[in-house]
Amino acid sequence: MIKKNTFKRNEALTFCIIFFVTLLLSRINIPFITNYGFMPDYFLALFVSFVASRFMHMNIYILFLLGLLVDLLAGELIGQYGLIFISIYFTNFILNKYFIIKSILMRNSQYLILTTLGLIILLISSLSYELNININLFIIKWVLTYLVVLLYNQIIRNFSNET
Amino acid sequence: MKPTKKELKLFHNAQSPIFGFIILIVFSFSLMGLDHRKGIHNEIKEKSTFLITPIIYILNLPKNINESLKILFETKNQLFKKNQELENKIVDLSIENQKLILIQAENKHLRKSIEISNRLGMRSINAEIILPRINNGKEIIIINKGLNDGVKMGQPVINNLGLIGQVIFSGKSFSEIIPITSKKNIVPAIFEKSTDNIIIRGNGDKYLEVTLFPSYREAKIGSVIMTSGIDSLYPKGIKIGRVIKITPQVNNQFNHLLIAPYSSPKAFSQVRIFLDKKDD
Repeated sequence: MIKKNTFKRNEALTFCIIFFVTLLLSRINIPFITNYGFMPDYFLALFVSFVASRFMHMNIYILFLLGLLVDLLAGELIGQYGLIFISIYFTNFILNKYFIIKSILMRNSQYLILTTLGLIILLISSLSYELNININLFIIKWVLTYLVVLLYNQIIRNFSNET
Repeated sequence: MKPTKKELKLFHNAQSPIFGFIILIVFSFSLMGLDHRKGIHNEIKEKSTFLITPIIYILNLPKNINESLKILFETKNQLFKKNQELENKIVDLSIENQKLILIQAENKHLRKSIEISNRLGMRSINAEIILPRINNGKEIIIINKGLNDGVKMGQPVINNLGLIGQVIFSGKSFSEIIPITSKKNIVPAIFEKSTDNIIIRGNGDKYLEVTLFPSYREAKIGSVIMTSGIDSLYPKGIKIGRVIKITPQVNNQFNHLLIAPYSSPKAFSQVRIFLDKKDD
């Protein structure tokens, strides 16, 4: 019983550290990138990795509250990231219900689906004066966010000592 | 034995989150709608600046340490040289100031005679730009003045070169500015040598643009664009930028104007914020 509590505390600490680092990363620009539209969405990447790897076994309500926290710290509308995170959670639930995800390729496809869904919701719900959507910019952001998802996934696996 | 409802679930053993999902979807849409109409995001953010302040402090720490070390190791000779330069600058500026006092007096007299109100008569304060310059993929400028100094949401920000942006959030000790080059910023503007009113928008990179400028209207490369003041937000006559490229649109009825702003957020460290109108 004591052992289980310690493990949970470690998970919570890991989560706090990664969340804090993400918060810092989201406010640091990548050198030589002048167009900030290229920047990956670090919070989306983090929560796709958390949800898909079932880290801490977060339920949908906790995830929504964390989404509201992200909205407060880095978002532009209250409820936007909350909506994204619960959509990711629900899609992940559906994927796990109907598919056995075992191979790396399947897992990476799962991350790709969740990242795409998150970015599309973000694009639709963002406040902007743009008349046209810049597809090239969106694709670059999508690729970069996906790479960050893979990176986060590796970090989470290392933290939780998975093979 | 007949399987129960729970056992019928395929590969996922967890309880279905469909009920919570629907409730939270409705809740998040309501929150977004409420925020869009009432702006509750800024109100909550204002009350929770203690969450963001440490992040800003940490991000500025290396820069502050570097500056402190620079000051610590500056030699007497360097300080003497700097002092000399500043004194020369003061002399130049005081000469310039004498001219300006004369021009201001003339201007006041002329305005009075033709009964034009002084639109630039506003109180303003100086502020220093601090890090970070980005927030979750969106370009922002953070300054070291906030509510305690009278900075409020919506106030225009300029420097000696021209318009920089607008305050979008004000905490107790810091404020966030959206630069004019941001995609989320639009400014009503006017050409310096004509009466054509236009709406210009940031392109998210280094420039501004007018996407649909009627081709029958005259626009030249090099034309200076300034604020029109029709929004009662930006004072009239602040320089914004100059046209550097005119591209005809597909149907030739409109032109796309690319505008280079006079002031780039990366080229300065001090800004001036217009607080409110002076009581004349």
